[in-house]
Amino acid sequence: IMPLVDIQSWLGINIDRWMLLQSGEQPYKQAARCHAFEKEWVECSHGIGQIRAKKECQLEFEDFFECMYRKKTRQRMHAIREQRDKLIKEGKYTPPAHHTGQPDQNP
Amino acid sequence: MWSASTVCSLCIKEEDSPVYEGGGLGKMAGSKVKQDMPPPGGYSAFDYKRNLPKRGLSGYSMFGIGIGIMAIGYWRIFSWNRERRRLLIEELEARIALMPLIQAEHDRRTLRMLRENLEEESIIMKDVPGWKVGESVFHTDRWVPPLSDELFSLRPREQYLHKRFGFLWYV
Repeated sequence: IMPLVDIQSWLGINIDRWMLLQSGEQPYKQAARCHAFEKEWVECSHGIGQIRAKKECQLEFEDFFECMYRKKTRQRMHAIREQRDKLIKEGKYTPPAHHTGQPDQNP
Repeated sequence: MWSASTVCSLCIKEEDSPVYEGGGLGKMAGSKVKQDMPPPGGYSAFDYKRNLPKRGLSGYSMFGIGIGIMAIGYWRIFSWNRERRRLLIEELEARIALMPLIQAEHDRRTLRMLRENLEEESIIMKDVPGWKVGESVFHTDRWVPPLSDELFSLRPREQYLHKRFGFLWYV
């Protein structure tokens, strides 16, 4: 009967609703890193059912997932690094000076 | 020879024995036997009774002193905590005041590193088929703050570690 009888708002207490969403109210107003993506996804899929949401909010969900786990980002980084190492081994590429530890701390 | 005139020191003289005279027990030995007796007049008096003097603070006053010390401790701690809160608020205000400058510097640095990474990427991935340089992994075109992972990915690892963990004091 849980979804039909909202005990927490009937009693006026807030046991665990504060921790359900990253986009909820956070202490010290510190926003989560993926706050925007989560908000987009929730706003997109609010009110329509789960089946429709899975179809229609695919993009938002993918962005949110990517933000949280950064799988695609890491894949790209990995590919670039591998290619760079390959080129260095073949001798075709030298990393520029600021990529090898000389301090060039620009603003 | 044994004559009657000799005095037998070990004999009990008739005239001195209590049976015949009813004398005191002190005269029991009557004879001159060397025994270890108390001095004449007896010993002087001494106290043999229990001596548990009432001394020190009472229980109530000891409780009182303990509670008093605790109360003084509490008061000091609370007032110092209030002072620390005021100092903390001052530090936070200083941070708020400096935030535009620091944020601007940070942003400039981020953008510069992104630009450098983009150029590097275009050089490196020139020959890789099907690679779109600078392609964003997201479908939206909002500005996504880059991770320090991405920014430092082509640099030596210790710069990345310094960025991430350089200011930590704890493990």
